[in-house]
Amino acid sequence: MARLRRGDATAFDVVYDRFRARLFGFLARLSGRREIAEDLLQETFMRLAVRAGDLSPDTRLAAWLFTVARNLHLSYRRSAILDAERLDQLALATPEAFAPSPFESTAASELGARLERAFAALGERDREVLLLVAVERLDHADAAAVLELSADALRQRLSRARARLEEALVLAERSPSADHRRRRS
Amino acid sequence: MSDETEPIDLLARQLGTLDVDPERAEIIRARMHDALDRQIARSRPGWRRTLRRAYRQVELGAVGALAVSYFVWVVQIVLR
Repeated sequence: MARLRRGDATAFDVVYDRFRARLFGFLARLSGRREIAEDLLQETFMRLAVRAGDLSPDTRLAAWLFTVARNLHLSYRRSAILDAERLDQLALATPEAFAPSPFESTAASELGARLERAFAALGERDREVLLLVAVERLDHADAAAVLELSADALRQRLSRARARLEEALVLAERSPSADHRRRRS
Repeated sequence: MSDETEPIDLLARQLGTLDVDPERAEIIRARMHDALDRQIARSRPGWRRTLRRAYRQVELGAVGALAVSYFVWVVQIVLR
């Protein structure tokens, strides 16, 4: 953190290599689109470059980066909703129940593909809490800070998200996978 | 359901890892470095900022010395 605050370029490279894929996965699964996730990822690291000097020495970097990434995604969502011309596009990008996830093809197994499909069918609030706690393994205090929630509220949201994921998995099991659909067509 | 098959654990293990295309990743890295260079250049003090900072540091002492010397001069005049 001290090297980041001093503007040491090597420290920025280390942080970039350590967090790039994690932040990209988080943003891609929130937005459902690679190109948007790439733009938001770039903006996240630009913010780090500009604000690193102002960070306090005890800043939790993972929580800070995920907070910036999430806020950028929220801003993007708001501007996209306000942009009338993009409404149709947005409706297409919003994950529908058991439409194939854009990341289904990256899954290594049928179970992975089913999980991608079930996960893409969840609401944004469920996805973000699951991504932070289950996938990124942020501790509950950091995840609560990123989502601007109290510890209790985080626990409740996580529990609801877990229940919805279970339901979505059962439903996804009944719907054919993208591969299966491709093979049939 | 055991811990092994909890959906939340499955999610952590089975969700595929995503990453940016290597070419795009390098573009983002280069842009981050450009932003960092600009930020460092912006925070580097120019001669005006250096002068202002130096003045702020000596201002109190200089004004105090001026006041004291004026007082001494007045006293000398009165006593002469």
